[in-house]
Amino acid sequence: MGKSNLMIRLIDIVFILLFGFIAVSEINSAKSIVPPKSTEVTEDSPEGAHIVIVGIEKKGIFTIGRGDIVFTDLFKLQEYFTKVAYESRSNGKKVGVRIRASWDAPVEYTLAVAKICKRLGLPKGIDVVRVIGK
Amino acid sequence: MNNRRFMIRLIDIALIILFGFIAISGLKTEYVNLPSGSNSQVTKQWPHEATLHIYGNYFVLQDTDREEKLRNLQDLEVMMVEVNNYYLQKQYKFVIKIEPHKSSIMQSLIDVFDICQRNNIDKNLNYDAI
Repeated sequence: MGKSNLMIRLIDIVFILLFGFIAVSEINSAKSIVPPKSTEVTEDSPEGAHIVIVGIEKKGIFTIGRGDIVFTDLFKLQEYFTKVAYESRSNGKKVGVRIRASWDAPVEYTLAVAKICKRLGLPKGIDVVRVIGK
Repeated sequence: MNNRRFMIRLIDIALIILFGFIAISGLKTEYVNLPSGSNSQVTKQWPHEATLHIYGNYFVLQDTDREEKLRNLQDLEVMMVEVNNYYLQKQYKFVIKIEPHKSSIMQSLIDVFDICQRNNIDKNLNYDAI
């Protein structure tokens, strides 16, 4: 009985550590962005393409993916996208860009990123959170 | 002693449930395609374009001979539907050109997209507005 109690306790501790690490690992700058809410969103994310997620924070900080790459300069971001577009074309892969801007971020940053994508011929879209509305 | 063990076990379970929920509650996002910036749709009707300026806390709908300042989304939707119906009756295809200004925020832009989607109004986005 004592051994069984100890095992249960050990399993509990393992679970706590596991979930704790998973929870903590999600805390990065990309996750902290709260996208705008939409009631009418119908589009599914493009499939079969390599998707680059660009996070845009309120102060105009651009993050790539889970926040591993950070840009504060649009020119650097453009250079990055040019490289991504070139690599994808040479590999014959499709690339799409999802712009995940904070709901209260100025539209100008999103438009700037969208303009870069347009110039490079990359399909683009805005990430939103679906809510039940009208 | 037994009571203390029981309490520790309960705290363990509470922590497991808490971290479990945090771990699986990843933000689920959907995707809104951005308009291309040029009217690519071929329609049999003549297009008529009006401009919607988005500012920080109001909207301005600018048509050929009128300009309406709208303070909230409800008024904007009513006005857009009204203008759309007006041009539909005149056999025109109404297209709204969205021009966000420096003070506008993302939520306002998505709200305008939603209104267009809900009421089947064609939209264009002016990428050079800012």
